Amino acid sequence: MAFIRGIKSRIRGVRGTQQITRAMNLVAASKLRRARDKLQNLRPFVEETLRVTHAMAARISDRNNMYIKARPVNNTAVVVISADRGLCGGYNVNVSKAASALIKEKPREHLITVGTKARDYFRRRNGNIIRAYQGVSETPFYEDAADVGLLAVDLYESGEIDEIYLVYTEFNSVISHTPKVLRLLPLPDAPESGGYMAFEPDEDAFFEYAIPKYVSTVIYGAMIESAACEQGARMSSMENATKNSTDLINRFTLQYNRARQDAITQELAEIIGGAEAL
Amino acid sequence: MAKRLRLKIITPLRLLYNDDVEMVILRAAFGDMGILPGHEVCAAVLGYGPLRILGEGAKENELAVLGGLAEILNDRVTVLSNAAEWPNEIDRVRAEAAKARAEQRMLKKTNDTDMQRAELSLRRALVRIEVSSYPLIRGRQ
Repeated sequence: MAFIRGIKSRIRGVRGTQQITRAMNLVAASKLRRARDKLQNLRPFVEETLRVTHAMAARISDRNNMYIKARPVNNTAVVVISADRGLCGGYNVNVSKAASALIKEKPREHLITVGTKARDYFRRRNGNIIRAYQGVSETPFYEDAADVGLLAVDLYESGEIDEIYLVYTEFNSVISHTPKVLRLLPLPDAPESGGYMAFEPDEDAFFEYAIPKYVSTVIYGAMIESAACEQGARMSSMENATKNSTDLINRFTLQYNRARQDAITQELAEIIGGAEAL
Repeated sequence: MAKRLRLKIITPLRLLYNDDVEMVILRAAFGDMGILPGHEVCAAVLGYGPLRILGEGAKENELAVLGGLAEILNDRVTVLSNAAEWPNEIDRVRAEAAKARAEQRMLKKTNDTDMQRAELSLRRALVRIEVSSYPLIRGRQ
């Protein structure tokens, strides 16, 4: 009897968990839809910003311009974008690992983390975190990205860091996400000048305005990509959890029924045995 | 056939315009620039102001562009702006309210009034009000 009661309470427990995972799956699905819409509208803007900025960099007349000239690298800023919460499969770990691999090649890293998961990951590994943002991962605003971007650009301009990397997760489809590493600054140096270009008002003023904008925009794009990935990853991992708990419940139910049948059979046998003995 | 200019206006929220035009007049940081096909290759910081599109025939469109960048190539103009709006999308009442608010802030200035911010929001409001009174003759999208 004790066994039967135990299995009954396990079934109840798993059912409770399943209710939660099913709800989380539905919530993630609806958040994913919103995040994808946003991403779809934003992508062309980010792509154009990247294209235009790189094209302009190739046309700067001053080849020593600080935004294109690579300096000897001593200090590297790495912006890592992760989620604030877990229960989304390998999403957080994958992006943190990509950042970790990058850092290994660099003499000294300065981490700017977005989302508590990346912060915790690097804190455990004694990474040099200079700034940790939280509470923005799920619904990022441009202002949040501009905060991160301006901080990084300021450090770059003052010479405290020599390059800026961005590590985020790219959204291919609901189930396919790839961690990406992108160098924001210095801009990729074209081997030869792409031809003459007039800058309005002038070259220095133009890039002083354009570079923070470019960095912030690309970071914003990465935040939106990552937010969509987070919801996608959560949705599919919760779907799996729900499916697994269905399997568990089926197995337990079978065991329960068997145990119940055994108990009845045994009772019958006892009664019959008892009657015969009389 | 006359040479055409491909104009693309993109904001983080959508693609506003992607079509051939005859001329574009945009507000750069230090004044207006008129762009015809065959313009010098150029990059410009944009100010807050109307952007005028002259298309086929007498068709003319105007929209509000609030800062950003423009890349001008021989036969292509790409405008990247964080905020750009068609006249019919501008909330006139809201723009008027923003104007009044910014003026108030600038009049009663205290030490912690951020004058630069107040001025920028005033300028944004003024551009929106100006453009919103402009008739919309939208060409094919």
